[in-house]
Amino acid sequence: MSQGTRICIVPCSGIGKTYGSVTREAAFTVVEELRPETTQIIALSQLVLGDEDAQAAVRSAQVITLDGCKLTCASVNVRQAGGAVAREYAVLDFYRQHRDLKPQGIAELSEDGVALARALAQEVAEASDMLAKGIDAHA
Amino acid sequence: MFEDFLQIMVDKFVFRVKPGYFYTEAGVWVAMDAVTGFVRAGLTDFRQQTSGDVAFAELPAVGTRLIAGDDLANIETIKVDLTVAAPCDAVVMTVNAALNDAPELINQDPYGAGWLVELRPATWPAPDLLDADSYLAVMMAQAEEAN
Repeated sequence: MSQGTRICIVPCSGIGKTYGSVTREAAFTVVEELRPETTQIIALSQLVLGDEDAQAAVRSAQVITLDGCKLTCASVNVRQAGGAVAREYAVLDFYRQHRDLKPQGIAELSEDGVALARALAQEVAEASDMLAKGIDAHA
Repeated sequence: MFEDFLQIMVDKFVFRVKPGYFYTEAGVWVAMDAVTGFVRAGLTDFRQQTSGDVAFAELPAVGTRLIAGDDLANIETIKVDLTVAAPCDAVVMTVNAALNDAPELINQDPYGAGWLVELRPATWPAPDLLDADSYLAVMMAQAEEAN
């Protein structure tokens, strides 16, 4: 899959926030380990700053956003950049489904935090597979 | 929609207080229902905003007898684990079952749909509760100290 058509993963940029760290850990796991051939990370900060390459990427490819809090900055900024969010995840909602994996820590996530990120990454990877096949990931 | 509330602004945050309700300094509101004789209790807007998005709310069993200051509820947010103290001597009559599936109601509507429990108070008015104006002053001091 060419760089231009790889599915974009846009995680939260909240520095100093545990749930934001979970999104970034999950995003890197998907892009570097689980689906390196079909996905790419777009840094939210680049969208916020109006980076043309980042904006073009979210306009031309399918986008999965990973938000760390209810402000949903990743989803909001993708849409403001003219992109369409194909699938959005909120860590708090995901944690409610995995209460045994309470994330703690910031610079270094706790063991449970890493496990939660791993579980989120697995779900995102599977969603990206469906999007790549043209299947509605919400179905 | 905010004209029914007292409110203060600290930095970029607006904290609201509902007139007619009673409060503890720890940020629990209490409102009497004259028809049932029960009081409904929940977290204040200040307490919920400063605690963060709620992940889970664990409420007491119906029938639990409480002394003021006893543990009423445990609330886990993205920032902290809160133990909410009972505002008065009372018996738990009802818990807000909606919080099982939607604990975020505590953040979205703290004085309404985000209520925690209904209590039958041992005495009413319960001692040591603050009226809205008094709580507003306490809250303002707490907010400025935290800022």
